[in-house]
Amino acid sequence: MRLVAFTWLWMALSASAQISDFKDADFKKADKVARLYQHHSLYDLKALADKLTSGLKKDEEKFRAIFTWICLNIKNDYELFKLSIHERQVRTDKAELDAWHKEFSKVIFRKLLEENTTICTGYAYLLRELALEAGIDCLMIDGYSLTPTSQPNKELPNHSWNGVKLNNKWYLCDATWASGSIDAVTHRFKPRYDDRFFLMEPKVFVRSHFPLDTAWMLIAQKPDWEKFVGEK
Amino acid sequence: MKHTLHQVLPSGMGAGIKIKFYFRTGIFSVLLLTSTLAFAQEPVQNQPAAPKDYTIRGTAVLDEDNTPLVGVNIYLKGTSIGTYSDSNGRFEFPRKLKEGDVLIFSFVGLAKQEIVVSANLPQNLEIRMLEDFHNVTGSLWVDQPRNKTAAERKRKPVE
Repeated sequence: MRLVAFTWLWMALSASAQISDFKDADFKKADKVARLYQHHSLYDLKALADKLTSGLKKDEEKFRAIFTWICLNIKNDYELFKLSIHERQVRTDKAELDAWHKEFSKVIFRKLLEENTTICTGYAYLLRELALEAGIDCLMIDGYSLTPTSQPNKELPNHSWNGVKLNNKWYLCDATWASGSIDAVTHRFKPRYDDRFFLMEPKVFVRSHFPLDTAWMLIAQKPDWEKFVGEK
Repeated sequence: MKHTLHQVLPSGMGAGIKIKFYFRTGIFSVLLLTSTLAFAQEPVQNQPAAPKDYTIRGTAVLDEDNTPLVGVNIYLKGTSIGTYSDSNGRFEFPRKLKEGDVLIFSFVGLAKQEIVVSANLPQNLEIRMLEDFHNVTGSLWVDQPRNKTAAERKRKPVE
């Protein structure tokens, strides 16, 4: 039953980017710019944002260049991911969990800077920072992502993504999931840029992303938690 | 940010002479004296002379343990003019700045900080950078093993 539900979900997810709002935007050019700066250091985000965006006119093109650059240059760190899951499961005490989060947050940023690897928090953080440097309003959204192997735990938000304001309208995107996947056997990161998660249609996005603040679903008819996790 | 106030502007020079004068006359109340003094000083600050240039230098440190921070980016707000702190956390902004200019200090994982240039800044700035704390979450794609049907092989999000 679950499998059917997920198959349906992923069929629904295909071809659903909200790119129709940006018919005149030159995303190909933006992607090309992003490829020019492969392996650029993260030590100077302002310089990186300038390089990625100064040759592009529209905000949506600038944002696209930043999004693509992140997806092409930042790798998912499976070990870090496993560690975060494990640690969050063994720590039941709220204070203890908070203290651990604080330390782990440092590790995440160090890894991001030095090795260009991270988990979703790092992707969302980088996207926000680079967009802000380019003068584009962008924020991180925390919440839950839907998984086939375990029920999302309402106590433990497990994912971060972004909201971005383009031409006075908010859009959603998920750079983590757009960057690639982990091989089930080797646990190595396999880069594979998947731009469905770039400005995805909110009503489709909400099937796999449930924000802590439901205002960020960006839709009028909001599914409730039970509907999201498939209990009704 | 706590900065000890440290006047860089030349202190109001003419004030001393005026105090002597007022004391000699001895008819003004203390209240009147202070208000007159404040008034007398005003022209000194409002002189239409060329705006003062400031050289901004100092050290960037991590707030929680005072470690000097290497490679903190320092930009003049609204421009691409900037520099970064050296291996001892020291920096000197490469151009003279004017009152009201804003410097932005940034470093991945630390909260951005803005400093407004003014006469009240210490000659040696200490920029204390705080952690930009995030609750770390993790969700990524794990591909399904090969020996499955096409539908099952579709990528799925796994927590």
